[in-house]
Amino acid sequence: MARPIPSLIAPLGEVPESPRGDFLPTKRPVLPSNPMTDKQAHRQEGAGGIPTHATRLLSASSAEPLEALVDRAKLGDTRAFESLYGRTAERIYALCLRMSGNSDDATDLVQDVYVRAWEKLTSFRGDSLFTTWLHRLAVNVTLEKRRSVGRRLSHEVSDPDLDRYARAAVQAMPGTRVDLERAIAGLPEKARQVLVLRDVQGYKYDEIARMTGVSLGTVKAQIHRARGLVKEALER
Amino acid sequence: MSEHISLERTHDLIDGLLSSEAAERARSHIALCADCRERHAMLSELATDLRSLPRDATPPPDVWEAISRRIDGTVPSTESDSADVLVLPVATRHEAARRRISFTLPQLAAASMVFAVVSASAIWMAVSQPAQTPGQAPAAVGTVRFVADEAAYDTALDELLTIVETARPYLAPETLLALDQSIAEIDAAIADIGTALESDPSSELLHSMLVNQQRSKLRVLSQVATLTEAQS
Repeated sequence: MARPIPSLIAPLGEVPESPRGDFLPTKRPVLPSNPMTDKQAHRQEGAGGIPTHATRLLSASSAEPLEALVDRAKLGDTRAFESLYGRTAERIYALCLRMSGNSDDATDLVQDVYVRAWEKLTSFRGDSLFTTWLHRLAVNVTLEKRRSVGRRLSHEVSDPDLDRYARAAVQAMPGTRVDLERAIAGLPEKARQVLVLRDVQGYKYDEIARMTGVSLGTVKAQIHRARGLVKEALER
Repeated sequence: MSEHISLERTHDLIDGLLSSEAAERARSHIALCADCRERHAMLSELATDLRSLPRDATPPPDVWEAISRRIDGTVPSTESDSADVLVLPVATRHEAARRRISFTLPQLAAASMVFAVVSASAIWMAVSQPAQTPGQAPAAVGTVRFVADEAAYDTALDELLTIVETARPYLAPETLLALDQSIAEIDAAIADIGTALESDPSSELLHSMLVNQQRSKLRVLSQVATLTEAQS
């Protein structure tokens, strides 16, 4: 080799907004580690596989910047991806749980979200935070899945057993309001989705219109109706 | 007193969608009108309650295992190819395109060696994909038989390591740290799986995990080798 390699000597992390497709390090802000990660690692310890390794890795990786994990996962490192799962799954599961109103469907949706994320990981260029990218992906997967299910089973409501859903919601989110969770889960499919996106997740109306593929006016009408139905349910 | 505020306008007020003047007019009316005040208070309280719901929920403990089974033996795909395309940073590709290309003969020789080695490792990674026979269950259910040529893997690994070691003095400390951490973790996983295989040598799951880790290692090294070649 005749001379130094300029772009490798200057870390890519020093180049603002530099699109990255490899595992080179960055100097992006380090997100605080999620205290639940270790708990999840302990739960997984008793769940089979090669527990000691998975546990050790998850614990060790909790201090590693999220973006570094993303870069390693892009290279096919499933353990880095497992750590990403450990750091982000709670937020994604809460979204899927409320969007579907069904704990079984939510579990399937979370799987679909992370499998899709794995497949699409190289399309993540770091233009936004990974968590933002993943959350948007989860919304898309959830809407797509529910649309296809809705087409086949349009007569079905999300979960006829709202009590069962409420128990699952409380178990997954101790301290949440059972009556409110139950009221949300009991909404019609589309009303529930837009209400969760707007009032729980905080998306803007125009963002929801783009994600759901309906007009702004329709989204507003659905949300207003959903709020009314939730209020009615709470007063019953 | 002005006209009552419609339900839709009350929602808009809560959502912050009214202009500052319209919002001020609405608030003035609400201050004087008990009916509108009650409706506004009710919807405001609901919005506050919804916003304060927990944003995190603990997923069931076996979800990761299910995900792991579905992605095992695969790699993140690129948009143009779902298999073994090595992804270069976009900036690097653009810079390379802009640069005037001028290689000495030794550089060309080194570049062709890198290309050959990276290609060889890509071929190994490709042939180490899960192989299914007719009637065999798909990869997702975990009854996969992996085909791996250990000799080819060792050869590709040795050659890539040689290239990367040669480039090491020219790599940035951050790059070296990331490289070494990645390789160390992959090696630790390979060692763990090797230990597990001693107890259960016929485990197809362990074999598939081993191949997956070996592929990860070649991929990391190939990335560095390719970048080295692109910048030389």
